[in-house]
Amino acid sequence: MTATATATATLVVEDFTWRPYGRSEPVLEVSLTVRPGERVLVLGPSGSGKSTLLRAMAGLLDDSLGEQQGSVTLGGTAPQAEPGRIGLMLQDPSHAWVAEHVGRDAAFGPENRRSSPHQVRTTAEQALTAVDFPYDAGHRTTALSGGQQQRLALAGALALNPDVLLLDEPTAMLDPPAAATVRAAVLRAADERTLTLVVVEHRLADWAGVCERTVVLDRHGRVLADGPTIQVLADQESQLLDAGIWVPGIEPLTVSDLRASDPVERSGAGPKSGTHSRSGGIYGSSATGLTDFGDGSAALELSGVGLTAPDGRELAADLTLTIEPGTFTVVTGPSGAGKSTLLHTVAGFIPGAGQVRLPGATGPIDARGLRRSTELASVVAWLPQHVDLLWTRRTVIDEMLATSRVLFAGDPVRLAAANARAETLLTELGLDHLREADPYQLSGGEQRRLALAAVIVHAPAVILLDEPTVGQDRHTWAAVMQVIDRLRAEGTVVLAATHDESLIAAADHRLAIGADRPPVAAEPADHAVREVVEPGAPPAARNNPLALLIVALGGVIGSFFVTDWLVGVLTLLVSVLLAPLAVGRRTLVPTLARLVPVALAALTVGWSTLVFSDRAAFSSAAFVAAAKEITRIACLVVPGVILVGVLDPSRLGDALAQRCRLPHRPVVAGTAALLRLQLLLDDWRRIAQVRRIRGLAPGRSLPGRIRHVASMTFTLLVHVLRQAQVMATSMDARGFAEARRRTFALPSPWRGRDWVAVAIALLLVAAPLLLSLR
Amino acid sequence: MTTATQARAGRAHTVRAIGPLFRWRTVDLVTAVMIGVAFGVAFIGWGQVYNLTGPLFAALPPLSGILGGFWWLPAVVAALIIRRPGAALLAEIIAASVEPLLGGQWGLATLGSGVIQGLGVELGFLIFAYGLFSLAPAMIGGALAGLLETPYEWLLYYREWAIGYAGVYAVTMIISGALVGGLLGTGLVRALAATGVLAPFPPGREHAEARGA
Repeated sequence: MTATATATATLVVEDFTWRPYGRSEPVLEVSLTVRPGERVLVLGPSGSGKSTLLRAMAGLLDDSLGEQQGSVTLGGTAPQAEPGRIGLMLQDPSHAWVAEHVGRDAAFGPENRRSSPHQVRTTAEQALTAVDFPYDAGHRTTALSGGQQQRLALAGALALNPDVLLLDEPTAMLDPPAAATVRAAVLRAADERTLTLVVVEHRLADWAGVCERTVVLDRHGRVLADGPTIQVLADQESQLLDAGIWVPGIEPLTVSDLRASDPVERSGAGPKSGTHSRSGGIYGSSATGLTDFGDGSAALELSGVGLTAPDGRELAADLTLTIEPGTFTVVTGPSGAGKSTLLHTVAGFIPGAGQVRLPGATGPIDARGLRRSTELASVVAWLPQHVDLLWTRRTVIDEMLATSRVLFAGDPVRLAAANARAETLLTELGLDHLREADPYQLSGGEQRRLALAAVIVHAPAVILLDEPTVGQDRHTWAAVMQVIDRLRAEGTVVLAATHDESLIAAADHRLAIGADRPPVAAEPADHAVREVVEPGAPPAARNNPLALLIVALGGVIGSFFVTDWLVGVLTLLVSVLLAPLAVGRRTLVPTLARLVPVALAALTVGWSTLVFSDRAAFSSAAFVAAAKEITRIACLVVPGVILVGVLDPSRLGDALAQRCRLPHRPVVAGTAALLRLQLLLDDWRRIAQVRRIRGLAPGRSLPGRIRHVASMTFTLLVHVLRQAQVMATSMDARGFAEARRRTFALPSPWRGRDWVAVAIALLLVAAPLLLSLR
Repeated sequence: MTTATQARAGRAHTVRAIGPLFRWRTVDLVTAVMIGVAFGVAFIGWGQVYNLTGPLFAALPPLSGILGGFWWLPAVVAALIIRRPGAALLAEIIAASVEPLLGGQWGLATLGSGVIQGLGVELGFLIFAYGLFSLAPAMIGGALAGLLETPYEWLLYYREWAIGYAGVYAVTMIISGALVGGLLGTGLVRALAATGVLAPFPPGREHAEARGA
């Protein structure tokens, strides 16, 4: 089963066509043979079907999406005949992981293949070691950076011992050092295992040197050129440049290149003149929120700003900085250095980080922050990295004007100016034909351009851009740069967090932060897959989750025997006395927080007993019953609420699949989803932040708030549905599709302590029963 | 006029899930569970709105059923998107397990509600033999979820309510289930289809075909 005939597996794509439903023409028409061990680079303009080709090669195209003809075979059989022979790495590694810990994630493929648990663990360990993974197998998947997650994805593919590795822009989202590490790991694995590589990329420099063969697709998904890389690049250079591909040795399109064909005359106001004349802007009359130039502080001023990482690490202290209007400043530094955090601080998302004075704001952003969403929007704009969280309207033009329509509702002159500016931006960013399109229907590059337009149309004085060019083709890059240059000419403060060398070269100032990273532990990481218990976890954390659920159930059953308030109080006392078994020092505060709504619920039930029971409302009998009900609800709910803190989704999934024998696939999928809870909470917060800074946060009215939350829910759902589709693809690439029964790397043991838990459950039933008999 | 005709034609020919009904694709599974988690997160946001109505419902708890249908939106949405038996149940169980993790008022007892509400919505689609995925099964399923959820809550939470108040609660839950769960859920799925994000699912196919391909 694990033996492979690597040297004989030829990948043959024969007369393959793919027509998605709703299209009259196929988007892909390809015949291609890839010999064993060959390394092929696939290039083409966006929409040329490159990603579709990779999915077809992996045998993962879904009949529900379109019609396919022709065939794909690997060594004569269908690619998914034996899942895992073809590994797939996707652009965004955050959608690829499925397990809580690194080791279990690498074990996912072997588990699907039903290897023995021992074999699964060995294979996963070897795969982690093969990619030289820097952390232990017990490291949390969510604590990894993008580059490390991508390396983990590589380990996950290698654990299935593939013949072919398909790479769909695997380094597009990474900073250059991380990209280089991932590339090196892929190449080493390819060398050691004689892997066939098929790489889709639009930054040629990264892979052209290692792929001896290049295939270029045209925009109809047909092969335009196929041959030795050097020759193809020489022959097709102009087509590649037209397609927006970054060709080594060719500089990015410069702003002056673009301006040569630009009909609008450049503003007379010099970019770095320091005069605060904003009225001569390219986009017509000034439409900014600037109200007061009197104090001469049109600059962005930061003083005493401290940056703290999400995990509490201090990144920078006492940052003091003045950025003059009409300048473009880049913030650089390694991943995790605090670049995004700095932007968030300027945007006022992190109150108390220090003093930030935004030009035109009525007061500094300090511990109390700027209160009103519209006030914030009028002075500062923010382009987040994930732009699909931005959309609030149904058409491109409405999206662009959303903020302006709120800010300038009572100012027709400014609104007209914003309208004119939007029209100019539509044309300049090549979006004019999409004016009435749904923002969600745009391609990735188009969405990024629209996002940029949407956050700047109302012309705020400060514009914050988070990695505005990451993963962009040459054309979009040039469009972004052009807009930045215009903003600069208008006297705007532009601050961008970036790794992009070309963008850095175009900046007026560079702010490098956080050069020092904590050194990685010198001792080699332990890649052995074993049960993970966090240090300092309370005893119950080692219990089988089913035993914990039985304890909670005991509380529920026991609550039915609570006949008066005294019995209730005494039974509750049992739960409280046993609570230290399940609540550690670190989980005490969250547990208490979870108990607050329970108390409110108990009081509501008490109140409704007082008024709505069979007894006369507010009679003394009703009061007695209400007191009983309050304690009964506490007995019912409290044990479960305490235990939730130690219920771990991964172990629960293992228990439900192995002990309860529930169907494996839904359990595993459910676990992978629940593990993303914290990330989705972060997304929800980001959606709220985006709306706040765009001036779209609701007022106090109830209908306004309902509309706001409804719209946020919609945005989250679209985001999550897209994410689910990528997750499913990457799970199927590791053989999940046919894994109706799987094996599990770790057992779900039932130990002595679990019998103790059952005894506690019985106690929770017996205590009220016996007390009520007294 | 053409849009109306197409819409009617679309309703007459409900697109079914691809392959055998019980043969879930991975994307079906992952979508169902992620819908569950997403709603679990969104419910926290809705909590802020819900709190504004808090005093009213605290004063008159049997009326709080008016918003009950909200809680089984994930079930309705998952059923309408995935169109396989069990989709509603799976999404609702996941949504119900997110709630206690984030601090829901009823703790793990919410899991029981999740099962009951999910089954209620499933029943609505079962009546039509999982062959029709339109407003009617969605509203019937929503109403059934409300009908089934009421005795669970009466038994577990509001035991002392007089039967008349429990009746009021049942009626508000049923109406809410049909309107907030069924009607709103159907509208939400239509809006999602319009973004193109449901392309791998029957509603996405219906949308693409309705646009005239």
